[in-house]
Amino acid sequence: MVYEQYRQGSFRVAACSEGARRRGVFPGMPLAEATALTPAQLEQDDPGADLAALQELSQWCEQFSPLVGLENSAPPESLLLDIEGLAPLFGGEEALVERIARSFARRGLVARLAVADTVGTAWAAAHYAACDDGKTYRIVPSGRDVAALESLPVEALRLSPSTVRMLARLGIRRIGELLALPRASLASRFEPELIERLNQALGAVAEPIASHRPPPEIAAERLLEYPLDERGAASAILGQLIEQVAAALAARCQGAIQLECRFDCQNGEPARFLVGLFEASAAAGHLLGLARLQLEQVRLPGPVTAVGVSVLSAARLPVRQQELFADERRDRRQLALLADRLSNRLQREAVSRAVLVPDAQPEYAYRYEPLTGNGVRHFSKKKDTRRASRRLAGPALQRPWPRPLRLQSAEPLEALTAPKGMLAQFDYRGRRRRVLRRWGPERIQTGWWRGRPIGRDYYRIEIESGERFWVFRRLHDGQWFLHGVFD
Amino acid sequence: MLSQRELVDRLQTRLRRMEGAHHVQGKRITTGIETLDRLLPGGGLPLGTLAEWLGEPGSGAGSLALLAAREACREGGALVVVDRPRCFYPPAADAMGIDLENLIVVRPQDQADERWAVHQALSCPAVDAVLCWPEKLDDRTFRRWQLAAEKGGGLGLLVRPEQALAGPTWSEVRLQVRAVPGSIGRRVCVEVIGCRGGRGGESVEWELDDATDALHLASRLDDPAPRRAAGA
Repeated sequence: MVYEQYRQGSFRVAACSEGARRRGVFPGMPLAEATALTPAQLEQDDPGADLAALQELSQWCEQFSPLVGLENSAPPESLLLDIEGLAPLFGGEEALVERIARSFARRGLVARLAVADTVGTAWAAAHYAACDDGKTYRIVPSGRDVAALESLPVEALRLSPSTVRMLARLGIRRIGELLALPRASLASRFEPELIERLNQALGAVAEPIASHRPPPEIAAERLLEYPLDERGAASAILGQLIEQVAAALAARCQGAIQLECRFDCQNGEPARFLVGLFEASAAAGHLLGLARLQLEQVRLPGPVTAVGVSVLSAARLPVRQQELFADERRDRRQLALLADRLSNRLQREAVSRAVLVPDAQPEYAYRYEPLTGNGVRHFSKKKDTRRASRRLAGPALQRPWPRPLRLQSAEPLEALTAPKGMLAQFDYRGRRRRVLRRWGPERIQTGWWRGRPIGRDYYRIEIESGERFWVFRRLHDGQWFLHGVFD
Repeated sequence: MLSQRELVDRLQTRLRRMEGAHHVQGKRITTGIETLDRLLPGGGLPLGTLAEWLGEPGSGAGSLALLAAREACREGGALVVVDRPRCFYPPAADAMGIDLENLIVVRPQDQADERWAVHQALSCPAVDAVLCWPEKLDDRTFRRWQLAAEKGGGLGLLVRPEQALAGPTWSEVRLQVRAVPGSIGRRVCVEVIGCRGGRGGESVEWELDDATDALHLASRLDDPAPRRAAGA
């Protein structure tokens, strides 16, 4: 398994598994070399997913220590746990560390652990110190930081690569050698970061651990004493919960983008639905209106025992200033409300905006993106500048051939053809149409990477009554299809 | 004591005022075709009303309706396309000059949802034009849509098949689009079937140039005897 990333103008290896490493692959190697050495499975490097996984791990580690943080580097790779005073609870430091090591092993993760007085020493020991035989962790006895650090290389101090290179040129490779030099001369010759890291490692400067805690989720729940049968009453309770949630959101100056409403029923699964918004809103009335639109269509399997509302995603409320000409702002607000109403009564995917995709195959030349539930989006009030620029771009040579306004799924035609395989007549909506003229062919051959390549010759045809259609002939068997109508 | 002449004048003014009570005042949107605008009272499609484009599939009715929608949204307002048949093709709309940033495409599952969606879109003041392809439109829905358009102030463009000519209508302007075969470019004949406060029965022929999206006047066919006298 090899993870690739695009760096320094070429694809390189970002990380690789043990198996790949044994065959000679190392991080930083060009990808072409790596694939020559071993037929590995390639994956795209995803630093975002790595960070998310690390954060999830840090929360999992809270079972060992109340204060867990990520190291302060970019990207963070290590976890810092504060275990001061916890040793007696676990039966000694060694027992605690062994327990942590076993838990990581059970999760299938290889972890290098070290315990020391300061963050700097612990980091250095975890990354660079040799282990005692049989163990996978190192413990630096209290007060013996300096002794432990002396034999470690200077990289263990978390210095920048340029500083390390300069030290190497001066012949300083071990921290012990660095410590022997007078501080004043170090401060004048190197960046202040060097002194700071030294002080952090020796404990002269405090290095706090910043724990990562996501803000608590906003949710409101009501457990009912007696199961409720009436829909009206359930709707009223939903209204009260939404008011609570809206107040909590407003206190944080945030608005909801996605809400989840849940009705626990006595018999059967809880009924859930999502309310998605186009623009973040903390207005209780608006949120309740949208929730009610969906509630009308939800089927409750039985009497309701609990009602819950939780905010799945929130964003900062757009700040609205009082403007002199406030029409544009008001219009955009109206549009957002319309988008919300449509998306909540129909499905979220049914209300979308169109985005063009540069694909030669006509049915893939665009895609629809839902309007609501995915953060901030604005409608711009651009004047008609795009069309002017298109006119300047030149004649039809630069644009593809005309496309029909209505594109349907390709419908095979039972055609009567003239010689040379051209289309002469076909049946459409129960009537036989005769072809008068045609323009084409426009050959489109693409899609081999999708696994289903297409080869089509498209023609614009005009039938005897003047209407125009878009048909194509499939290359490999000559079958004619109707693809669109120039409405 | 009024003379006969004055009496007739006064009665005529009162009649006109009564007829004109339903006249929609306000801004007019050009259809994109100059000579067609001249056939319509006020020089275009009035805002806050519905307009019907009737034609066989492939005749060009949809394209012309989209052109009118483009004109209506020039100020930067939103265009809502309610596409129940799921046939709308955005790249073609983009080629005709529609700004995809201000376009919302709604794809309802059934006719009930379509009726509701069009009604909501028409009632919204921020929406400048609504385009849809309704199949069967009953009188009640049609009237509700017309009231919604009045309230929202936008333009409702309904593209319908030719059989809908026979049915009831609450639209301000009814245009029938027919393709003219055998011409060099793409020629369409647009006839004003009915429009409130104006004359019906006149038509224009226009050529739709696919390459530059320009509309050329091909020729003007005046119907010497109007087939129908359209009134309020």
